[in-house]
Amino acid sequence: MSQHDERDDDGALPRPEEGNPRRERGRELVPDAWRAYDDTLADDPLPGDAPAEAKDWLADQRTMHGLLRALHSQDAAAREGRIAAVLARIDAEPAAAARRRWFAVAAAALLLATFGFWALLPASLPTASAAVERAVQALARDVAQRFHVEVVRAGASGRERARHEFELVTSPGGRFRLDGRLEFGGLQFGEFTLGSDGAEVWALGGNGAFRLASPLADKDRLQQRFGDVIDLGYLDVHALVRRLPEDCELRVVAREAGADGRPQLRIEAESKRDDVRARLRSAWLLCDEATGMVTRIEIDAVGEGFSRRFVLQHLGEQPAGLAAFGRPW
Amino acid sequence: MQPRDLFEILMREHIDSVRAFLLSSLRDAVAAEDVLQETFLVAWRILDRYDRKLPFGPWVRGIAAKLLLNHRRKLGRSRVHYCDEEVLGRIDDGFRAFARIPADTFDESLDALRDCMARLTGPQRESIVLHYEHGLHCKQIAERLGIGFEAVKKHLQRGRAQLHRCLQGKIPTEDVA
Repeated sequence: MSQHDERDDDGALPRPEEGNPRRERGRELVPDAWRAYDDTLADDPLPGDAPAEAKDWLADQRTMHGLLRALHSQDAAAREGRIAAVLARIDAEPAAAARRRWFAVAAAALLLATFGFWALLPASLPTASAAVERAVQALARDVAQRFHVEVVRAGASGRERARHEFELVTSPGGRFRLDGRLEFGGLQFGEFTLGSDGAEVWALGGNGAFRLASPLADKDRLQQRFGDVIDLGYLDVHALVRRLPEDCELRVVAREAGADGRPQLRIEAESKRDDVRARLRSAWLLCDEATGMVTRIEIDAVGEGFSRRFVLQHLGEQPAGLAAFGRPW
Repeated sequence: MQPRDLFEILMREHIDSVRAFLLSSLRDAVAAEDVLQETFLVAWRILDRYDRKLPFGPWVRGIAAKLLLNHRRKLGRSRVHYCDEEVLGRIDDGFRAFARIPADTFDESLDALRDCMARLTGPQRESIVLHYEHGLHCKQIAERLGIGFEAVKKHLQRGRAQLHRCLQGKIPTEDVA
Protein backbone atom coordinates (compact mmCIF):
# COMPACT_ATOMS: atom_id res chain seq x y z
CA MET A 1 0.00 0.00 0.00
CA SER A 2 1.52 3.24 -1.08
CA GLN A 3 0.91 5.74 1.68
CA HIS A 4 2.97 8.81 1.04
CA ASP A 5 3.19 9.53 -2.63
CA GLU A 6 0.34 11.96 -2.99
CA ARG A 7 1.42 15.14 -4.70
CA ASP A 8 -0.21 18.47 -4.88
CA ASP A 9 -0.52 18.44 -8.63
CA ASP A 10 -4.21 18.02 -8.98
CA GLY A 11 -4.49 20.22 -12.04
CA ALA A 12 -1.98 18.12 -13.95
CA LEU A 13 -3.81 14.90 -13.45
CA PRO A 14 -6.68 13.58 -15.53
CA ARG A 15 -10.08 13.65 -13.87
CA PRO A 16 -11.72 10.31 -13.11
CA GLU A 17 -15.07 9.49 -14.49
CA GLU A 18 -17.91 10.68 -12.29
CA GLY A 19 -18.70 8.10 -9.63
CA ASN A 20 -15.65 6.07 -10.44
CA PRO A 21 -12.71 6.89 -8.18
CA ARG A 22 -9.38 5.39 -9.12
CA ARG A 23 -5.80 5.51 -8.00
CA GLU A 24 -3.10 6.99 -10.13
CA ARG A 25 0.57 7.00 -9.13
CA GLY A 26 -0.53 5.89 -5.66
CA ARG A 27 -2.91 8.77 -5.32
CA GLU A 28 -6.64 8.51 -4.95
CA LEU A 29 -8.53 10.53 -7.51
CA VAL A 30 -11.92 11.56 -6.28
CA PRO A 31 -14.62 13.16 -8.40
CA ASP A 32 -14.89 16.83 -7.51
CA ALA A 33 -18.62 16.36 -7.03
CA TRP A 34 -17.93 14.04 -4.12
CA ARG A 35 -15.77 16.59 -2.34
CA ALA A 36 -18.82 18.80 -1.93
CA TYR A 37 -20.48 16.11 0.20
CA ASP A 38 -17.80 16.48 2.83
CA ASP A 39 -19.51 19.19 4.86
CA THR A 40 -16.90 19.07 7.63
CA LEU A 41 -15.06 21.80 5.74
CA ALA A 42 -18.04 23.99 4.88
CA ASP A 43 -20.13 26.30 7.00
CA ASP A 44 -23.37 25.20 5.40
CA PRO A 45 -25.04 21.80 5.30
CA LEU A 46 -25.34 19.80 2.10
CA PRO A 47 -28.16 20.77 -0.16
CA GLY A 48 -29.21 17.13 -0.65
CA ASP A 49 -28.31 13.52 0.01
CA ALA A 50 -24.93 12.05 -0.86
CA PRO A 51 -25.01 9.51 -3.72
CA ALA A 52 -24.49 5.87 -2.76
CA GLU A 53 -21.17 5.61 -4.61
CA ALA A 54 -19.69 8.50 -2.57
CA LYS A 55 -20.56 7.07 0.82
CA ASP A 56 -17.49 4.90 1.36
CA TRP A 57 -15.18 7.81 0.64
CA LEU A 58 -17.30 10.15 2.74
CA ALA A 59 -17.31 7.71 5.68
CA ASP A 60 -13.50 7.35 5.50
CA GLN A 61 -13.14 11.14 5.51
CA ARG A 62 -15.46 11.48 8.49
CA THR A 63 -13.76 8.67 10.40
CA MET A 64 -10.45 10.48 10.06
CA HIS A 65 -12.13 13.80 10.89
CA GLY A 66 -13.38 12.33 14.19
CA LEU A 67 -10.05 10.69 15.00
CA LEU A 68 -8.09 13.87 14.26
CA ARG A 69 -10.43 15.97 16.40
CA ALA A 70 -10.09 13.43 19.20
CA LEU A 71 -6.31 13.36 18.79
CA HIS A 72 -6.09 17.10 19.31
CA SER A 73 -8.47 17.28 22.24
CA GLN A 74 -7.09 14.48 24.42
CA ASP A 75 -7.20 15.63 28.01
CA ALA A 76 -7.00 13.24 30.94
CA ALA A 77 -8.73 15.62 33.36
CA ALA A 78 -11.56 16.25 30.91
CA ARG A 79 -11.93 12.50 30.43
CA GLU A 80 -12.30 11.95 34.16
CA GLY A 81 -14.82 14.81 34.23
CA ARG A 82 -16.87 13.09 31.53
CA ILE A 83 -16.86 9.77 33.33
CA ALA A 84 -17.75 11.44 36.63
CA ALA A 85 -20.60 13.36 34.96
CA VAL A 86 -22.10 10.17 33.48
CA LEU A 87 -21.76 8.29 36.76
CA ALA A 88 -23.38 11.20 38.59
CA ARG A 89 -26.33 11.07 36.20
CA ILE A 90 -26.58 7.29 36.57
CA ASP A 91 -26.61 7.67 40.34
CA ALA A 92 -29.31 10.31 40.02
CA GLU A 93 -31.59 7.94 38.11
CA PRO A 94 -34.89 7.45 39.99
CA ALA A 95 -34.46 3.72 40.62
CA ALA A 96 -30.99 4.11 42.01
CA ALA A 97 -32.03 7.16 43.98
CA ALA A 98 -34.88 5.28 45.64
CA ARG A 99 -32.54 2.50 46.73
CA ARG A 100 -30.18 4.95 48.28
CA ARG A 101 -32.66 7.39 49.78
CA TRP A 102 -32.59 6.03 53.31
CA PHE A 103 -28.80 5.95 53.24
CA ALA A 104 -28.55 9.49 51.87
CA VAL A 105 -30.77 10.92 54.58
CA ALA A 106 -28.79 9.22 57.32
CA ALA A 107 -25.45 10.14 55.78
CA ALA A 108 -26.49 13.75 55.24
CA ALA A 109 -27.51 14.16 58.85
CA LEU A 110 -24.27 12.65 60.04
CA LEU A 111 -22.11 14.73 57.72
CA LEU A 112 -23.95 17.94 58.52
CA ALA A 113 -23.43 17.35 62.19
CA THR A 114 -19.80 16.38 61.77
CA PHE A 115 -18.20 18.37 59.01
CA GLY A 116 -20.53 21.17 58.08
CA PHE A 117 -22.43 21.86 54.95
CA TRP A 118 -19.78 21.85 52.29
CA ALA A 119 -18.74 18.31 53.06
CA LEU A 120 -22.14 17.24 51.71
CA LEU A 121 -21.06 17.88 48.16
CA PRO A 122 -21.56 14.98 45.80
CA ALA A 123 -18.57 12.70 45.62
CA SER A 124 -18.65 13.01 41.86
CA LEU A 125 -17.34 16.56 41.85
CA PRO A 126 -13.94 16.55 40.16
CA THR A 127 -10.93 17.67 42.12
CA ALA A 128 -10.07 21.35 41.99
CA SER A 129 -6.67 20.62 40.51
CA ALA A 130 -8.30 18.66 37.66
CA ALA A 131 -10.83 21.43 37.02
CA VAL A 132 -8.18 24.17 37.08
CA GLU A 133 -5.93 22.10 34.83
CA ARG A 134 -8.79 21.87 32.32
CA ALA A 135 -9.24 25.63 32.51
CA VAL A 136 -5.51 26.12 31.92
CA GLN A 137 -5.72 23.83 28.89
CA ALA A 138 -8.71 25.74 27.53
CA LEU A 139 -6.90 29.05 27.98
CA ALA A 140 -3.69 27.66 26.48
CA ARG A 141 -5.33 27.35 23.05
CA ASP A 142 -3.95 29.89 20.64
CA VAL A 143 -7.23 31.77 20.60
CA ALA A 144 -7.93 35.31 21.83
CA GLN A 145 -10.49 35.33 24.66
CA ARG A 146 -12.64 38.34 25.52
CA PHE A 147 -13.50 39.34 29.07
CA HIS A 148 -15.38 42.20 30.67
CA VAL A 149 -13.26 43.47 33.55
CA GLU A 150 -14.49 45.41 36.56
CA VAL A 151 -12.07 46.78 39.14
CA VAL A 152 -13.49 48.16 42.39
CA ARG A 153 -11.07 49.84 44.76
CA ALA A 154 -11.93 50.51 48.39
CA GLY A 155 -10.08 52.29 51.18
CA ALA A 156 -9.00 50.81 54.47
CA SER A 157 -12.49 51.48 55.84
CA GLY A 158 -14.01 49.39 53.07
CA ARG A 159 -15.66 52.41 51.43
CA GLU A 160 -15.63 52.27 47.63
CA ARG A 161 -13.26 54.85 46.16
CA ALA A 162 -13.15 54.02 42.48
CA ARG A 163 -14.74 51.70 39.97
CA HIS A 164 -13.37 51.05 36.50
CA GLU A 165 -14.68 48.88 33.69
CA PHE A 166 -12.67 47.58 30.77
CA GLU A 167 -12.79 45.19 27.85
CA LEU A 168 -9.93 42.71 27.90
CA VAL A 169 -8.72 40.52 25.05
CA THR A 170 -6.10 38.02 26.14
CA SER A 171 -4.11 35.20 24.60
CA PRO A 172 -1.51 32.83 26.03
CA GLY A 173 2.08 33.96 25.95
CA GLY A 174 1.61 37.16 27.94
CA ARG A 175 -0.44 38.84 25.21
CA PHE A 176 -3.32 41.10 26.21
CA ARG A 177 -5.07 44.33 25.37
CA LEU A 178 -7.24 46.27 27.80
CA ASP A 179 -9.52 49.10 26.62
CA GLY A 180 -11.61 51.43 28.77
CA ARG A 181 -11.74 54.78 30.52
CA LEU A 182 -9.34 55.55 33.30
CA GLU A 183 -8.98 58.16 36.01
CA PHE A 184 -6.92 58.24 39.13
CA GLY A 185 -5.31 60.80 41.40
CA GLY A 186 -7.75 63.41 40.09
CA LEU A 187 -6.42 62.98 36.54
CA GLN A 188 -8.85 62.10 33.78
CA PHE A 189 -7.13 59.98 31.22
CA GLY A 190 -10.26 59.35 29.21
CA GLU A 191 -9.95 56.51 26.75
CA PHE A 192 -7.14 54.28 27.85
CA THR A 193 -5.50 51.26 26.27
CA LEU A 194 -2.98 48.98 27.86
CA GLY A 195 -1.42 46.13 25.95
CA SER A 196 1.32 43.57 25.77
CA ASP A 197 2.57 41.58 22.81
CA GLY A 198 4.36 39.12 25.08
CA ALA A 199 7.66 41.03 24.98
CA GLU A 200 6.70 44.64 25.62
CA VAL A 201 3.97 46.18 27.71
CA TRP A 202 2.62 49.54 26.62
CA ALA A 203 -0.02 52.09 27.57
CA LEU A 204 -1.77 54.77 25.57
CA GLY A 205 -4.11 57.39 27.02
CA GLY A 206 -5.20 61.03 26.96
CA ASN A 207 -5.88 60.97 23.22
CA GLY A 208 -2.33 59.92 22.56
CA ALA A 209 -0.74 62.44 24.93
CA PHE A 210 0.15 59.71 27.39
CA ARG A 211 2.40 56.97 26.04
CA LEU A 212 4.47 54.47 27.88
CA ALA A 213 6.28 51.33 26.83
CA SER A 214 8.50 49.01 28.74
CA PRO A 215 9.87 45.48 28.41
CA LEU A 216 7.42 43.04 29.93
CA ALA A 217 10.13 41.97 32.37
CA ASP A 218 10.01 45.51 33.85
CA LYS A 219 6.25 45.54 34.22
CA ASP A 220 6.46 46.22 37.96
CA ARG A 221 7.95 49.62 37.22
CA LEU A 222 5.18 50.38 34.77
CA GLN A 223 2.65 49.04 37.25
CA GLN A 224 3.60 51.77 39.75
CA ARG A 225 2.66 54.43 37.21
CA PHE A 226 -0.96 53.28 37.33
CA GLY A 227 -1.32 53.89 41.03
CA ASP A 228 -2.33 50.29 41.59
CA VAL A 229 -5.57 50.77 39.66
CA ILE A 230 -4.75 47.78 37.49
CA ASP A 231 -2.71 44.75 38.35
CA LEU A 232 -0.95 43.73 35.17
CA GLY A 233 -0.54 40.21 36.52
CA TYR A 234 -4.28 39.59 36.23
CA LEU A 235 -4.51 40.52 32.55
CA ASP A 236 -2.67 37.44 31.31
CA VAL A 237 -5.57 35.20 32.31
CA HIS A 238 -3.85 32.01 31.18
CA ALA A 239 -0.86 32.72 33.46
CA LEU A 240 -3.16 33.87 36.27
CA VAL A 241 -5.12 30.60 36.29
CA ARG A 242 -1.98 28.51 35.75
CA ARG A 243 -0.38 30.04 38.86
CA LEU A 244 -3.38 29.44 41.10
CA PRO A 245 -2.51 25.87 42.24
CA GLU A 246 0.95 27.12 43.22
CA ASP A 247 -0.22 30.21 45.08
CA CYS A 248 -3.52 29.06 46.55
CA GLU A 249 -5.36 26.28 48.26
CA LEU A 250 -8.09 25.23 45.84
CA ARG A 251 -11.33 23.37 46.30
CA VAL A 252 -14.44 22.73 44.23
CA VAL A 253 -17.33 23.90 46.36
CA ALA A 254 -20.35 23.50 44.09
CA ARG A 255 -21.76 22.49 40.77
CA GLU A 256 -24.27 25.11 39.67
CA ALA A 257 -26.20 26.07 36.54
CA GLY A 258 -24.94 29.04 34.55
CA ALA A 259 -27.20 31.66 32.98
CA ASP A 260 -27.60 29.38 29.96
CA GLY A 261 -28.37 26.37 32.15
CA ARG A 262 -25.03 24.67 31.52
CA PRO A 263 -23.36 23.08 34.55
CA GLN A 264 -20.49 25.05 35.99
CA LEU A 265 -18.03 24.24 38.74
CA ARG A 266 -17.39 26.83 41.43
CA ILE A 267 -13.81 26.71 42.65
CA GLU A 268 -12.57 28.64 45.65
CA ALA A 269 -8.96 29.72 46.03
CA GLU A 270 -7.36 30.94 49.25
CA SER A 271 -3.87 32.37 49.22
CA LYS A 272 -1.30 30.09 50.82
CA ARG A 273 0.68 33.14 51.92
CA ASP A 274 -0.46 34.96 55.02
CA ASP A 275 1.94 37.89 54.89
CA VAL A 276 0.40 41.28 54.11
CA ARG A 277 2.44 41.69 50.92
CA ALA A 278 0.56 38.80 49.32
CA ARG A 279 -1.80 40.85 47.15
CA LEU A 280 -4.20 38.08 46.14
CA ARG A 281 -6.04 37.04 49.28
CA SER A 282 -8.79 34.93 47.81
CA ALA A 283 -10.54 34.24 44.54
CA TRP A 284 -13.24 32.12 43.07
CA LEU A 285 -13.76 30.84 39.57
CA LEU A 286 -16.63 29.41 37.61
CA CYS A 287 -15.65 26.87 34.97
CA ASP A 288 -17.93 25.43 32.30
CA GLU A 289 -17.99 21.73 33.10
CA ALA A 290 -18.30 20.62 29.49
CA THR A 291 -15.57 22.76 27.97
CA GLY A 292 -13.43 23.44 31.02
CA MET A 293 -13.33 27.14 30.10
CA VAL A 294 -13.31 29.75 32.84
CA THR A 295 -16.50 31.80 32.63
CA ARG A 296 -15.96 34.13 35.61
CA ILE A 297 -13.18 34.99 38.00
CA GLU A 298 -13.45 37.20 41.08
CA ILE A 299 -10.31 38.17 42.94
CA ASP A 300 -9.99 39.93 46.26
CA ALA A 301 -6.63 41.62 46.60
CA VAL A 302 -5.15 43.92 49.22
CA GLY A 303 -2.47 46.57 49.23
CA GLU A 304 -1.23 49.09 51.73
CA GLY A 305 -4.36 50.86 52.95
CA PHE A 306 -6.68 49.63 50.23
CA SER A 307 -8.47 46.57 48.96
CA ARG A 308 -9.49 45.78 45.45
CA ARG A 309 -12.01 43.46 43.82
CA PHE A 310 -11.18 42.36 40.32
CA VAL A 311 -13.95 40.66 38.31
CA LEU A 312 -13.46 39.04 34.91
CA GLN A 313 -16.53 37.86 33.03
CA HIS A 314 -15.85 35.75 29.94
CA LEU A 315 -17.58 37.13 26.83
CA GLY A 316 -16.40 34.62 24.24
CA GLU A 317 -13.66 34.24 21.69
CA GLN A 318 -12.32 37.14 19.66
CA PRO A 319 -12.56 36.36 15.95
CA ALA A 320 -9.16 35.54 14.51
CA GLY A 321 -7.42 38.51 12.97
CA LEU A 322 -9.14 41.09 15.17
CA ALA A 323 -6.82 40.78 18.14
CA ALA A 324 -3.92 43.28 17.97
CA PHE A 325 -1.50 43.17 20.86
CA GLY A 326 1.38 45.22 19.47
CA ARG A 327 2.16 48.83 20.35
CA PRO A 328 0.05 51.05 18.06
CA TRP A 329 2.68 53.74 17.59
CA MET B 1 -19.38 -7.50 40.41
CA GLN B 2 -22.22 -5.00 40.59
CA PRO B 3 -23.71 -3.84 37.24
CA ARG B 4 -22.64 -0.27 37.94
CA ASP B 5 -19.03 -1.36 38.50
CA LEU B 6 -19.04 -3.39 35.30
CA PHE B 7 -20.56 -0.46 33.44
CA GLU B 8 -17.90 1.93 34.73
CA ILE B 9 -15.18 -0.43 33.47
CA LEU B 10 -16.81 -0.66 30.05
CA MET B 11 -17.35 3.09 29.92
CA ARG B 12 -13.71 3.81 30.81
CA GLU B 13 -12.62 1.47 28.03
CA HIS B 14 -14.87 2.89 25.33
CA ILE B 15 -15.70 6.51 26.15
CA ASP B 16 -12.83 7.94 24.07
CA SER B 17 -13.73 5.97 20.94
CA VAL B 18 -17.41 6.88 21.27
CA ARG B 19 -16.44 10.53 21.68
CA ALA B 20 -14.30 10.35 18.52
CA PHE B 21 -17.20 8.67 16.72
CA LEU B 22 -19.48 11.57 17.74
CA LEU B 23 -16.87 14.15 16.78
CA SER B 24 -16.89 12.68 13.28
CA SER B 25 -20.48 13.87 12.86
CA LEU B 26 -21.15 16.77 15.24
CA ARG B 27 -19.83 20.22 14.45
CA ASP B 28 -19.94 21.45 18.01
CA ALA B 29 -17.64 19.80 20.56
CA VAL B 30 -19.96 20.86 23.39
CA ALA B 31 -22.90 19.14 21.68
CA ALA B 32 -20.69 16.07 21.32
CA GLU B 33 -20.16 16.10 25.10
CA ASP B 34 -23.92 16.24 25.64
CA VAL B 35 -24.66 13.39 23.22
CA LEU B 36 -21.77 11.39 24.70
CA GLN B 37 -23.30 11.62 28.17
CA GLU B 38 -26.71 10.76 26.76
CA THR B 39 -25.28 7.75 24.93
CA PHE B 40 -23.85 6.20 28.08
CA LEU B 41 -26.92 7.06 30.08
CA VAL B 42 -29.11 5.22 27.54
CA ALA B 43 -26.60 2.35 27.49
CA TRP B 44 -26.91 2.08 31.28
CA ARG B 45 -30.70 2.08 31.11
CA ILE B 46 -30.77 -0.77 28.57
CA LEU B 47 -27.70 -2.60 29.77
CA ASP B 48 -29.77 -5.77 30.25
CA ARG B 49 -30.18 -5.89 26.46
CA TYR B 50 -26.43 -5.97 25.88
CA ASP B 51 -25.19 -9.42 24.89
CA ARG B 52 -21.94 -9.81 26.83
CA LYS B 53 -20.62 -12.26 24.26
CA LEU B 54 -20.43 -9.42 21.74
CA PRO B 55 -18.02 -6.47 21.84
CA PHE B 56 -19.33 -3.47 23.77
CA GLY B 57 -17.86 -0.79 21.47
CA PRO B 58 -20.07 -1.39 18.40
CA TRP B 59 -23.13 -1.78 20.65
CA VAL B 60 -22.63 1.56 22.38
CA ARG B 61 -21.69 3.29 19.12
CA GLY B 62 -24.97 1.94 17.72
CA ILE B 63 -26.76 3.85 20.49
CA ALA B 64 -24.68 6.93 19.71
CA ALA B 65 -25.63 6.63 16.01
CA LYS B 66 -29.36 6.55 16.84
CA LEU B 67 -28.98 9.61 19.08
CA LEU B 68 -27.06 11.37 16.30
CA LEU B 69 -29.88 10.73 13.83
CA ASN B 70 -32.42 12.02 16.38
CA HIS B 71 -30.21 15.03 17.04
CA ARG B 72 -30.04 15.75 13.32
CA ARG B 73 -33.82 15.52 12.99
CA LYS B 74 -34.39 17.80 15.98
CA LEU B 75 -31.67 20.40 15.45
CA GLY B 76 -31.32 20.32 11.70
CA ARG B 77 -28.51 19.71 9.28
CA SER B 78 -26.52 22.78 10.27
CA ARG B 79 -25.56 21.16 13.59
CA VAL B 80 -24.87 17.59 12.46
CA HIS B 81 -22.80 16.64 9.43
CA TYR B 82 -24.40 14.67 6.66
CA CYS B 83 -25.38 11.29 7.98
CA ASP B 84 -27.80 8.53 7.35
CA GLU B 85 -27.79 4.99 8.73
CA GLU B 86 -25.59 3.81 5.88
CA VAL B 87 -22.91 6.45 6.34
CA LEU B 88 -22.94 6.05 10.11
CA GLY B 89 -22.63 2.28 9.67
CA ARG B 90 -19.57 2.76 7.47
CA ILE B 91 -18.04 5.23 9.92
CA ASP B 92 -18.60 2.58 12.59
CA ASP B 93 -16.77 0.10 10.33
CA GLY B 94 -13.87 2.56 10.33
CA PHE B 95 -13.86 2.63 14.12
CA ARG B 96 -14.04 -1.18 14.29
CA ALA B 97 -10.98 -1.31 12.03
CA PHE B 98 -9.22 1.32 14.15
CA ALA B 99 -9.89 -0.79 17.25
CA ARG B 100 -7.95 -3.66 15.67
CA ILE B 101 -4.71 -1.67 15.73
CA PRO B 102 -2.64 -3.41 18.41
CA ALA B 103 -2.88 -1.23 21.52
CA ASP B 104 -4.20 -1.47 25.06
CA THR B 105 -6.11 1.80 25.07
CA PHE B 106 -7.69 4.19 22.62
CA ASP B 107 -4.96 6.71 23.38
CA GLU B 108 -2.33 4.13 22.49
CA SER B 109 -4.20 3.47 19.24
CA LEU B 110 -3.97 7.19 18.57
CA ASP B 111 -0.18 6.78 18.68
CA ALA B 112 -0.58 5.03 15.33
CA LEU B 113 -2.29 8.15 14.00
CA ARG B 114 0.46 10.32 15.50
CA ASP B 115 2.98 8.17 13.67
CA CYS B 116 1.07 8.57 10.41
CA MET B 117 0.89 12.34 11.02
CA ALA B 118 4.66 12.41 11.46
CA ARG B 119 5.03 10.89 7.99
CA LEU B 120 2.64 13.30 6.32
CA THR B 121 4.44 16.07 4.47
CA GLY B 122 3.89 19.21 2.43
CA PRO B 123 0.76 21.33 2.28
CA GLN B 124 -1.41 18.39 3.34
CA ARG B 125 0.43 18.17 6.63
CA GLU B 126 0.39 21.97 7.04
CA SER B 127 -3.34 22.11 6.36
CA ILE B 128 -4.12 19.25 8.75
CA VAL B 129 -2.00 20.79 11.52
CA LEU B 130 -3.47 24.27 11.06
CA HIS B 131 -7.03 22.96 10.94
CA TYR B 132 -7.03 20.34 13.68
CA GLU B 133 -4.24 21.47 15.98
CA HIS B 134 -4.60 25.23 15.69
CA GLY B 135 -8.33 25.29 14.98
CA LEU B 136 -8.08 27.46 11.85
CA HIS B 137 -10.91 27.55 9.35
CA CYS B 138 -10.18 26.73 5.69
CA LYS B 139 -10.35 30.41 4.80
CA GLN B 140 -7.75 31.30 7.42
CA ILE B 141 -5.53 28.43 6.25
CA ALA B 142 -5.85 29.67 2.69
CA GLU B 143 -4.69 33.13 3.79
CA ARG B 144 -1.86 31.67 5.85
CA LEU B 145 -0.60 29.42 3.03
CA GLY B 146 -1.34 31.87 0.24
CA ILE B 147 -3.51 29.43 -1.69
CA GLY B 148 -7.17 29.19 -2.59
CA PHE B 149 -10.01 28.00 -0.37
CA GLU B 150 -10.75 25.00 -2.60
CA ALA B 151 -7.07 24.02 -2.64
CA VAL B 152 -7.10 23.94 1.18
CA LYS B 153 -10.15 21.67 1.16
CA LYS B 154 -8.40 19.31 -1.24
CA HIS B 155 -5.23 19.26 0.86
CA LEU B 156 -7.28 18.45 3.94
CA GLN B 157 -9.25 15.73 2.20
CA ARG B 158 -6.15 14.22 0.62
CA GLY B 159 -4.30 14.44 3.92
CA ARG B 160 -7.12 12.59 5.64
CA ALA B 161 -7.16 9.98 2.86
CA GLN B 162 -3.41 9.44 3.28
CA LEU B 163 -3.75 9.11 7.01
CA HIS B 164 -6.58 6.64 6.51
CA ARG B 165 -4.45 4.48 4.23
CA CYS B 166 -1.52 4.74 6.61
CA LEU B 167 -3.71 3.52 9.49
CA GLN B 168 -5.03 0.64 7.40
CA GLY B 169 -1.42 -0.40 6.94
CA LYS B 170 -1.09 -0.70 10.70
CA ILE B 171 -3.92 -3.21 11.07
CA PRO B 172 -2.44 -6.71 11.33
CA THR B 173 -2.68 -8.45 7.95
CA GLU B 174 -4.75 -11.35 9.19
CA ASP B 175 -7.38 -8.87 10.41
CA VAL B 176 -7.78 -7.04 7.14
CA ALA B 177 -10.87 -8.27 5.38
